[in-house]
Amino acid sequence: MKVITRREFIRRAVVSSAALTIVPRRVLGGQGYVPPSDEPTKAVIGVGGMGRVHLRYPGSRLLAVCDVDSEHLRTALEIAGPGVRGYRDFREVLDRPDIDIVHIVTPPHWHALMSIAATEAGKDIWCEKPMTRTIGEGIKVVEAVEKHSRIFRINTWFRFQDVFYGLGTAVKPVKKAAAHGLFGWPLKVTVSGVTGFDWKFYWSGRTYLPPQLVPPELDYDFWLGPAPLKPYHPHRVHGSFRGYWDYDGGGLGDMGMHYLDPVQFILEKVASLPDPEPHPEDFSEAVRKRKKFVLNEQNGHRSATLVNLAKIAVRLGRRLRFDPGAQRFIGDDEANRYIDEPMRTPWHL
Amino acid sequence: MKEQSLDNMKPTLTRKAFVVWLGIFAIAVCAATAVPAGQRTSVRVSEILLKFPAQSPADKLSAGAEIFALGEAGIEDVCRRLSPPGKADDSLARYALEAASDYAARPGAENDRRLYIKAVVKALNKAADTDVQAFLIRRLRIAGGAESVKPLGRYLSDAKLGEPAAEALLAVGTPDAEKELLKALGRKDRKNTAAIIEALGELRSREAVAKILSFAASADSRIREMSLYALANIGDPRAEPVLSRIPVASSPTERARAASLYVLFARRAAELGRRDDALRISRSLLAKNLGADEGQVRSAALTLVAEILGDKVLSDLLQAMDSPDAAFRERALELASAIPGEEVTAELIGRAAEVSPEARAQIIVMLGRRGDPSALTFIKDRLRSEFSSVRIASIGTAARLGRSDVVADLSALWQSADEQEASALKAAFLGFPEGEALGAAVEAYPGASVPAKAAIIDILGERVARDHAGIVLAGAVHEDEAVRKSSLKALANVVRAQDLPQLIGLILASAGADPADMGLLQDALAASARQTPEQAKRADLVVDAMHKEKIPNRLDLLRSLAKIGGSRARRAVLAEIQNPNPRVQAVAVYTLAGWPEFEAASDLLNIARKAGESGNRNFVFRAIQGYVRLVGESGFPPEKKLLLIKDALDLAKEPAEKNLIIAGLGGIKAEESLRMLARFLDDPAFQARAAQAVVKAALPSAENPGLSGVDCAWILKRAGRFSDNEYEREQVEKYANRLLEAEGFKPLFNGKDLSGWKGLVKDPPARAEMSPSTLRKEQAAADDDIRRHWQVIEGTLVFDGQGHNLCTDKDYADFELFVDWKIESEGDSGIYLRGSPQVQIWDPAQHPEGSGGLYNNKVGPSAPLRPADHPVGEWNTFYIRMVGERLTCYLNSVLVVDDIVMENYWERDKSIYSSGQIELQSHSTPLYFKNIYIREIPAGEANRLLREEEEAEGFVPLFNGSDLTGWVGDAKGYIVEDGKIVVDPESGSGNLYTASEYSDFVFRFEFKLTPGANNGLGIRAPFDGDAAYAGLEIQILDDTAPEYKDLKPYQYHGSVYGVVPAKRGFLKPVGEWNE
Repeated sequence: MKVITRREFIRRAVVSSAALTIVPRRVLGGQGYVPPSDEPTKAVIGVGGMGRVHLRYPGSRLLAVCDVDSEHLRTALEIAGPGVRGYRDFREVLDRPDIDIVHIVTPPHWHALMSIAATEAGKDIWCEKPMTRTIGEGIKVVEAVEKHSRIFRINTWFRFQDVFYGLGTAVKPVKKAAAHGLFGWPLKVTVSGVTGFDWKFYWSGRTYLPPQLVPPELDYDFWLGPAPLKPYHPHRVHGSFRGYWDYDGGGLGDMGMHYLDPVQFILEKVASLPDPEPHPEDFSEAVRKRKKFVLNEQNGHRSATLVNLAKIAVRLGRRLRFDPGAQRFIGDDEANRYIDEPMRTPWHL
Repeated sequence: MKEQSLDNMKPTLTRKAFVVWLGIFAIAVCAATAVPAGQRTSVRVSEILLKFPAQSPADKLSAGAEIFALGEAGIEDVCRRLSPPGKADDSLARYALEAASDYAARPGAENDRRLYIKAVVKALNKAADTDVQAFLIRRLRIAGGAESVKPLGRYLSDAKLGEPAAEALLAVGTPDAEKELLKALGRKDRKNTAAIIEALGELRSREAVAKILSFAASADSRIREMSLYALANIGDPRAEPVLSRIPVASSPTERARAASLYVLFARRAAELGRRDDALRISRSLLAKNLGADEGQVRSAALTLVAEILGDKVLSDLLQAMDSPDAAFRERALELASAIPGEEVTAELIGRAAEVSPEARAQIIVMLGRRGDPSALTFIKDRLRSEFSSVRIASIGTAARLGRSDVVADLSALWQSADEQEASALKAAFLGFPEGEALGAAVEAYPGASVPAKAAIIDILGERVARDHAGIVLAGAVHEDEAVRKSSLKALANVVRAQDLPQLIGLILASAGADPADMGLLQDALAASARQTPEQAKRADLVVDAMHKEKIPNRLDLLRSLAKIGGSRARRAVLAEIQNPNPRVQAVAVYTLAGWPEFEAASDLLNIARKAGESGNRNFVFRAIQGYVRLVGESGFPPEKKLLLIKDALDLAKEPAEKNLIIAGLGGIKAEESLRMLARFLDDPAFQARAAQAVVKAALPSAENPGLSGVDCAWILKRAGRFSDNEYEREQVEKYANRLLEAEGFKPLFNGKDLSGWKGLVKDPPARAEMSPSTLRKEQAAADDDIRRHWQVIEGTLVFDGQGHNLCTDKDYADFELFVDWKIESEGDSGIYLRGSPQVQIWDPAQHPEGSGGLYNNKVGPSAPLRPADHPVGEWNTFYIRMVGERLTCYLNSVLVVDDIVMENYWERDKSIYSSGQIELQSHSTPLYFKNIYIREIPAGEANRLLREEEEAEGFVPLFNGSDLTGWVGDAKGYIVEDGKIVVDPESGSGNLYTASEYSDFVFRFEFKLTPGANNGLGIRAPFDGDAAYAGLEIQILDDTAPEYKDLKPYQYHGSVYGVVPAKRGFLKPVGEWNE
């Protein structure tokens, strides 16, 4: 029986797609020149369930998809239609000069690495939540985005949601009420079952995973990337990775930023609400006009830091004191060692 | 008449004696012998491990402290329990080690931390498996200090552990750690070179530079890349020749990466005091022709220049304004906005005048962010710039800097504003304090350009400017579309009650308009009507107008009534349903289905009923849809909602209609709604939706704690099957198990190992004859067998098809049992109860009667009532209830055995044993079991259950199971124990009578005898006199006893004493229950 290897599949996928060259609008869009198409181009890295949603986000033109699972890649290419190329290695995607935006829709242990590589390659970034898996990674992403003048969007939007989960009202009026002191001061904010943290949020890993054979479609070593090398088990990857500290942080990692960003917003810790409220296309507008998107690396890092702080507190089982300026724990060496977590060679930030 | 010995007196005494004896023994042991300390620690550790995973942070820490209390030996003991992946489940040990580490490494407990590290290092050196070692090294990474440096150093050259060891040394970060890494880098083997170089780079080890340089051209790309990174991060001048080479011919990302590293190097150089080097490098990168798409490199270099020069960077930034790269210019302006001072503002203004219009616009926006009012004059002049981008930027900046002072300047722009300017003006005006700006905008309206008019109307809408409703009403019929659209959107916000006639006019004039526009007009109409002072009359004008109109105007007004609400409007809609025109009817039904108040519910139900009779399914659907919505939105308690939904149940005939009901039930958290939904789970057309609704109704949500009870668990188990999301299935299963536990069910299988289970030794009679030592030996062999053939894989018990039955350690008498099972094609199994076969499991393809039957019954039925198996390869669920001899079994919620006596397979002449082990039967096929939950039924409850069955047949209980209420006579000799009436042989010599008298009856009871016991049942007996002679006595007697060998025929058991001899041979052996 002839078995198509992953490598062959990718080569075929690449060859069978139409060889189009699209000049990025960045190159053409110099002074006084209006490019024929003002629509930015994009690539989606990580095309599992959520990645497939990103394929359809309007406002930009899809040129490439990338995944270390050839089955995911095949499905994505089918959805994407002609003219879109498939890749296994995201670095080849970053090498393409005709791509303006990369969507990072991988598990969180990749977010910082890919985001920083994208800033170095001069791409703008649309990154899934949680923004990063550690506080240290977040610091470096913020630094790289600023340094390289990139536009970064974190994919959380609850502050614009009509009805902020569990509150029965949108965030905007809550913010207004808070600003006018209707709730008194200081404000106590509880994010819990009462405010919509329902059963969906109890992601949990399993403690005893007998090693299993890696399915042929998955490049497991690449999937792990910077994460520690541990024997393959299907529960570690794809639909259930959030239950493992190596890749994410349970329901907190999954949904925490969604809930904490509006709180930051209500407390006026992050950029204020633009009017009109952003739609997916608005990110393309921000990219074209080189203006910071309202949900950017700054407020993303802030709410991701709350998530990552909570993860460390859960792991250490104690109260922690954090200095937000220095971004270090106060008088707690052990906790500080969780601010950065090592990456497996050759991956590093 | 006579005596019956106390059935369980003897064993009780024995047990008490035994307990006392054990107590003495235990004390003696503690006092006299010393158990080896290691053994004692190990026992203690095992106890502590059971506390994991901890339920709260506090529990975790206190369990960690308990381990710690055992000292180094305790921690080592936990470490020894670690095992390689897949070999055994060592999760508890891993939890415990983390907890101990958290306890030890708490701030200010240095001695504890050192003790912990010492134990971990010892375990690390002893451990044989690399995965276990890697885990221990990670513990050192988190908690290790100077003392772990040497031990870690030993692992740097290990193929698999070198990298974790290097990471741990990096975390320790002392000069000694650096030395250890350096030493390893000098060694010949280069297995972990990349990892070591990375750690040295992170430590910024200048001593490592020479060595790392020798790897910078390594053939191994990992080593090469890591070396370049480390060299850049260390920032030593010796590395510059290597880092300054930015390869022209390589891929764009490699070039970008190289440039990025060079910038990093320059930054480190500056940090080390070599500012000139750093400036030279960044400026060389700025000057380099990097290609149009490499602007990010220039941005990074410029950022660095700013970091080095501080405020003095301004001239570089101003120069950057000449760049054609907008992103680069933006970065320069961001950096400039951080530099304070009016003179800086002045320089920026000066530069703005010289550069391209795009750059000028960017500078103007940045001046707004900068907030220096000294720029205002310059900005105001730019409001009339010839370049649109400059004008737009200036509008925003002028508003930010000048606030209300610039209202007049900006108002002047309305006259000629194009679309973009109008939008910028709108944003500016909305940012101003209300009064003045609004007035200015209204004043400018007559002379404004068309896009400006639209923008001003947007402002009026946003500001809810009711005083200016006239402008908006007029705008709604403006000749320009943009103005019209804005007006339609703003109308609902600005209209007042007195505008109602005009709005009706507008609607009538807009017949045939875009439905979206018509919707906006209807919203405005409703907003106006709702402001009518007399609420009862709010719909009057609209209804009256509607009655005068014909299609289509009539329909437009009709539709708006749903947004107005109230009883007058509702009556009007109901009347329109009687309208002979079918279109009017349809719109009226739709309108009522969208009604805002619950009052329409009964109307909708009537409509659904009538439409059902006349066959108008479309109306039925709409009416039910509206009805279900209103019920869901009503604030009624779940029970009431349920009753309301039930009213619609019979009206829903078509699948689409039933789906509405299903969705409605899903919103009601009540057991009854689950039961109603459960019916839909059997129908393939509805099961997927019904399952979703079940999960929604049953599981906890933000507002509700979730449903509970065995029935709920059962229905959830059924519904979970239809979810295509593995994670959801798992959650539903977990929740169902939690509910069972809350109802007193205990897991028989812990999902992890075979604890609580044993192997099978022969059969109950054979076991009874074995000597204890033989039984022990056989049991050990059988236990060995099951360990080979029964495995736990991911929470499932898996049988490989080659061994023997798996049996519970414990015996069970009366119980309820849930068990999930799965077989493969031609699979065969069963559940043994009380050590006896069996509730049958087999492949329904081979045995169409299906699983669940009492396979070994010869007298009673052995086949299930009906087949209910899921296809082979899918999970099935048994619910088995066994009380007394009778068994009830549901398979996948279908009743397959209904209260049938289970016969004794091993000893056909006896009834089923009163208790025994539960067994999972093996055949030569693979089998799967999971979620095995049992609830033992206490005797009292068992009696009650049996009684309920009797009562169902019309019987009345004479004995309540707990005392002698209803009985009179010898109250001393008869006592109630454990649900039984027991005769005390010492004091029991009198008769016990029912308080009431009975003539014709059926009397059912059970009895059990001791050897030689003699008793009887008197019927129609008087309260005084001899029951056996004045009434009738039915003999109850152990007639097998030697003293009764010469009885007359009418004296044997069962005879009507002295009247009718009984047939013999039906009395069960002494000690067993008779019926």
